[in-house]
Amino acid sequence: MKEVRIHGRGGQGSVTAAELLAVAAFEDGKFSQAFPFFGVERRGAPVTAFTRISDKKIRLRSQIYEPDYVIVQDATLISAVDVTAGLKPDGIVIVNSEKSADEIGIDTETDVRTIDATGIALEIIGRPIVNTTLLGAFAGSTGEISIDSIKQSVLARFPGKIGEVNVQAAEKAYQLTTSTKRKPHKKIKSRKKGAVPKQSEKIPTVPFGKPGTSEVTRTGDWRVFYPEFDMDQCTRCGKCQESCPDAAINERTLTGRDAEKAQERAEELEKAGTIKKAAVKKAHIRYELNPTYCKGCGICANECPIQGIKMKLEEK
Amino acid sequence: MMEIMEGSHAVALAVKAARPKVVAAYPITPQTHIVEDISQLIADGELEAEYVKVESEHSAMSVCIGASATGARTYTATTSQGLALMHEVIFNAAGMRLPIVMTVANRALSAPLNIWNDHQDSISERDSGWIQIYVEDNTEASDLTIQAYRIAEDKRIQVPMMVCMDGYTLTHTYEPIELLDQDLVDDFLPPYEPTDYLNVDDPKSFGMFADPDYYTEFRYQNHEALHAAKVVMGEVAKEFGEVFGRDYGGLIEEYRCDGAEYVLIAMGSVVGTLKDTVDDLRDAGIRVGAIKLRVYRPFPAEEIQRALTDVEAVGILDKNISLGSEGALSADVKSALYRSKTTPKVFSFVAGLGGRDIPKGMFVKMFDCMREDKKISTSEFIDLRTEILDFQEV
Repeated sequence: MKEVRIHGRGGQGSVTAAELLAVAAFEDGKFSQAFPFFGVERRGAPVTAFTRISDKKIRLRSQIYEPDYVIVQDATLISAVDVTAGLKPDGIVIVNSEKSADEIGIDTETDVRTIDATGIALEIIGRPIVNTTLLGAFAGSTGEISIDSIKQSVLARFPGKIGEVNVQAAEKAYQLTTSTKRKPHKKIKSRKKGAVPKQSEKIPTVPFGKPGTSEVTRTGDWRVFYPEFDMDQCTRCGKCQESCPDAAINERTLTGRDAEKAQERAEELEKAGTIKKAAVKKAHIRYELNPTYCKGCGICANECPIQGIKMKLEEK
Repeated sequence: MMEIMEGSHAVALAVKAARPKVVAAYPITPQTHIVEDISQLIADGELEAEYVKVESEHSAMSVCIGASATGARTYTATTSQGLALMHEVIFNAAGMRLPIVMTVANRALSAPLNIWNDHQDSISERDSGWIQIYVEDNTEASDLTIQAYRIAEDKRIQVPMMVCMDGYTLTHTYEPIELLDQDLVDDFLPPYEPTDYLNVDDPKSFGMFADPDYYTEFRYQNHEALHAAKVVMGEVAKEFGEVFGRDYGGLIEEYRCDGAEYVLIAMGSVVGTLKDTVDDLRDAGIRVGAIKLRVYRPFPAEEIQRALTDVEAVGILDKNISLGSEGALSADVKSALYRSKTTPKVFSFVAGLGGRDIPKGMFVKMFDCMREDKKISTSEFIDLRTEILDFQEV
């Protein structure tokens, strides 16, 4: 039996990846099993999913503690989660990263392969959804599963155009990884500690806890796109701020010369008929992004009544 | 024929094959996928049934009771807090002897809030007069959905039935499923024909009042019906096996119990992991066995007595706890053994609460306790993380 553990974040399709892998294995004539372990049900929160592949019926229902393979959908997880825990010595870790295996700071002596799945997904699919690309890389790197079965399972799940581009992305990753040779990897001595401070493990008798942990969760690490505000068009309605799930949009009040400049600009725009008079009065108000917490979800852009927020690809 | 799919989808397809006329449910994780899939099947015209959208689980069960009383085959599914909210009407369904079938996607109860799997929700409804069966895998969940209607609608018993499947561990797991052939299901499960039902042309009162002169007799009949269900379940399982080629054994399944000195009893999907552990230990020459307790209500006391006649010790795994007493299964097994001629040593374990994983090593630890004859408490929390607790003396 071969066991695969997939680490990702909510919304990245880790669970779907595990399921597609199980379906592909079934297509290959194997028995298979895929199941998730959800943490908090929230976009961006760490998620683990599991796949077992066997020649016999699978009865085992526990999670996977000694995987043969690990897939990491998001390299920022490496500092927060022990992704290689229990990995078999001859196992393989496949990481979505544009960096090399030695550069990503992974604490293991096992075979680490990196692939720029985000780059491939953005290029071919047009969205940073990397799960199918990584399955192509899995097929290429491990040979445990045929790329044809991966393609078949992707097309069955996503019929039409979406399926086709996902298949292309998987194929590209497959081609890139089949030629990769196993390379011994240097163990990192001092491991980068997680961004989330470990809270005291002791628990109280009554389930009372300190409120909120979002301050210590640097959700900005998850961002691929960021919102760009068009302050010339903006009516200062505040919908973007209200809708931000991470309170990552700050309102700033300009003063002095800055406020005067904003006022002059607004008056010009009003004369040109671009904005209404009411907006001129609020010209000194600015919306600004807090990059530490903005995870690039795009809800603000979706909610903006004048489409004044554009999601832009973040420069690496 | 086998096909790979999510457990919830397999159950939805089984429900479709059973051709219920009314489905009423309220979504709650981890049951949601089941009722979403069913509502999709109805919307797509693949299942001719009325899907009643309700504002709560209490209403879902109330709608099922009303619909079932008019003679319609009905289905619902829920879990955890949803099942707890149904509590009041659950008893009505049984007392009115309505053959409603419900899938329980087992999940822990609050507080603290927990969405993961254990058996506390359905165990807390054990006294309601419903048949309860716990399944090991998703093919069994699918097959038992069909069997459940045959059992519940049997004229000799007429009682509702819960098919309990582990939330996430089964509901959200993709695995190969033995599909049900619609023609075979139609032969096996003919349309429901009730004896008594609400009919405007022949008005009757239903679920009416019974004073102290009569209440006991209604309760007694309900109780006897559950005992009779053991026979009905045996017959239905046998016939199902002949038609579909899959037999899950009786009320309990004994796994490598021949010559076993130490036997562990468990319910639900964790039995798969237990069977693998038994194989490992048997390979190492240790004489262990497993009992999968499939039917929890009615409780298979005679079967347990017979299966444990020659064992040295029995361990019981409860994924629930009757707080202030012990795990419910443990109490039932001990009660069954009280009337047995030979009594093995009993080890009661509580584990796997609120989604805590039970790996093979945990079963090895339980067998070790039994083999070393360790002194343990009446409900040993064997996977307790003592390091995060402050213990206080009272």
